[in-house]
Amino acid sequence: MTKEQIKIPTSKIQRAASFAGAGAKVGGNYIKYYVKKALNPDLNRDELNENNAEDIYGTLSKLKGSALKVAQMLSMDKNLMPQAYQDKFQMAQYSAPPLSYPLVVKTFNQEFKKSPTEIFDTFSKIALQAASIGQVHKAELKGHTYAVKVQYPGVAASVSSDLKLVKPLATRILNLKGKDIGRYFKEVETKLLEETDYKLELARSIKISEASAHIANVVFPKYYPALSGDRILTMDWIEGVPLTEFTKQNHPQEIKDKIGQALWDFYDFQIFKLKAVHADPHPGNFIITPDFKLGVIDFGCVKEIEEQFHKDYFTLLNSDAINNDEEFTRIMYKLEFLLKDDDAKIVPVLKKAFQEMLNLLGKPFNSDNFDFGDDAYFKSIYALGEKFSKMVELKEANGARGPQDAIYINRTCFGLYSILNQIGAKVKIIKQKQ
Amino acid sequence: MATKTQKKTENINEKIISFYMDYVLTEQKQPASIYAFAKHLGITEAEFYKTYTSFKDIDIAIWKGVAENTINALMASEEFETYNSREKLLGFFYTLVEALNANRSYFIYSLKAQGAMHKNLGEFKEQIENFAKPTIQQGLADKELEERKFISDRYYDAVWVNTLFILNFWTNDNSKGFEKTDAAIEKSVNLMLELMGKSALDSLLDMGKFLLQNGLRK
Repeated sequence: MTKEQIKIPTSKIQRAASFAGAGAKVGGNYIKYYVKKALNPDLNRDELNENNAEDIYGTLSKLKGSALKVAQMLSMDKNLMPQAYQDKFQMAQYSAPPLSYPLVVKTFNQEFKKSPTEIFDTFSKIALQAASIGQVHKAELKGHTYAVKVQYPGVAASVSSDLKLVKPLATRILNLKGKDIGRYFKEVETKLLEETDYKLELARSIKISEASAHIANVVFPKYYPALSGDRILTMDWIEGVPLTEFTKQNHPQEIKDKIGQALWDFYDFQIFKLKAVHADPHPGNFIITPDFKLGVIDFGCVKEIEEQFHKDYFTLLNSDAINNDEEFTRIMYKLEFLLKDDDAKIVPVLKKAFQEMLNLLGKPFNSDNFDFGDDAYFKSIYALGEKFSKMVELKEANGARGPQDAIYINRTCFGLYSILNQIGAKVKIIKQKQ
Repeated sequence: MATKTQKKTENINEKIISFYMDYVLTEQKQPASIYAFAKHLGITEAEFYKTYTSFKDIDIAIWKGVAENTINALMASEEFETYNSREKLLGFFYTLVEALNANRSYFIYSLKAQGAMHKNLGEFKEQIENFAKPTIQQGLADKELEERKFISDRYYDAVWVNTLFILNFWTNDNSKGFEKTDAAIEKSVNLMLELMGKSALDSLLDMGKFLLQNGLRK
């Protein structure tokens, strides 16, 4: 046994004890929530077996880098690491009551030397929506309606200190060494900081929405650089219902398919053509217009995909590549899913597990049509997670695995799958030439 | 003719203030004597005494001025009339901090120099109370704030305590654009007004009264 392994609590009692630590409690709740939800999407129907949950969790922690991947897969709509981060981050930051109107006025004065009512004909004193790190006001000027996003003060300044606060906690929850996890944390930190940069968001919003304008049934607001600044972002107000509302309503299948197809086409275009994706496919970031088009708002979180990583990573979604052993092994090592000092006995087991996982995750990409409304697919993913949790070899595997660039890509894919499932859409898949 | 004299006095007053600020910030102490100060400034001692009797007077006037300017700036904005009491208080603190920022170094120096008793803030405090009283009256009339026997008469004290809190926070704030002070204003004013509004405080007082009465009966 190596030193590292000795440090990792292996018995259930030890694990339970470490969970009981005050610091881990909060995090433990996240884990419990995600794992519970993963094992049993209908939480109310069946009470969860805690030991089982911890077993799965233990497996995830030992898989480290790829733990994120499996965890995302298990939780489907949320990425474990960034979410655990973000929830904590939100607790620290966003549970704040909405910004008062005088502070909005102050922010306007700082940015434009004018108050909101000096710029617009009308301006809602109260925010109509909470954005991720700010709030949205509705404004009118010469009959045109605008959505004005105002950022909370001090958000950017506190990202790094908030993350420092969470790091030991998250490291402990995932049983990781600070060194191993550093690059994943860096990735999350970079993305969170980018989200506070409204100038960057403005530039990206304009770039992606203009490039994607041709996609059928997708609409973007127009952005207004002259009415935007460091902490204010102005765009068109899109009339419609949030996607979260839409999925609760009853709609004919063809409408669901239309929306789902628009969403798929938009992401397909971003991943394979733009190589930059709206990496926050959260139902709150989409609006369904009265004529059933998909309105896309909030480009705060965009992941730009580097060429070489793109090539390697998306090759894995191709079933031919997954099942070509030589090619598959090469990419596994390249992307550090397999490590050079892995025990020879464990390599085939890990390979088989990843193969199985990737085959399942790539399934929509390898189909001509895919019915995301079919829960069977999602259940098979949960089942695979459970199976992994019982594999001793996986528990023994050590080391941080998988590239940090994958965090947000995975989050995007699972978010996308999950939204399509909630919509209940059947989607035609565009075949990508490899 | 009267206006001309007035203007002249104002000019001298401004000169005295800016020279005084510059002096204390450069030297980190008060000028040695009024005689030396006046000589340096190129005015007569008599001219100095027309407006001020001591250096302490200047400090008091500067603090009073910043509160006056804040209130005048607020009153000048059309929207201000439409604000409820919470928004008026928030607007007041945001504007005050802006005004303080214009001479941040001086105000921080002055706060440190006068010590914990804030002996030069008397007229500044008066200005703030003059603003706070009608604002709180408005809140009470609108039922935004809760009328409480004896206590609601002293609500404006809370505004003063909050001012001291914000001054202290602002003094130590080193965030970009003093964004954290903005957050401190937002949070402290919200808390203050929520305590003044109908809140758990009433139940707490009620409970306290009950315990007191029943304790006394023993």
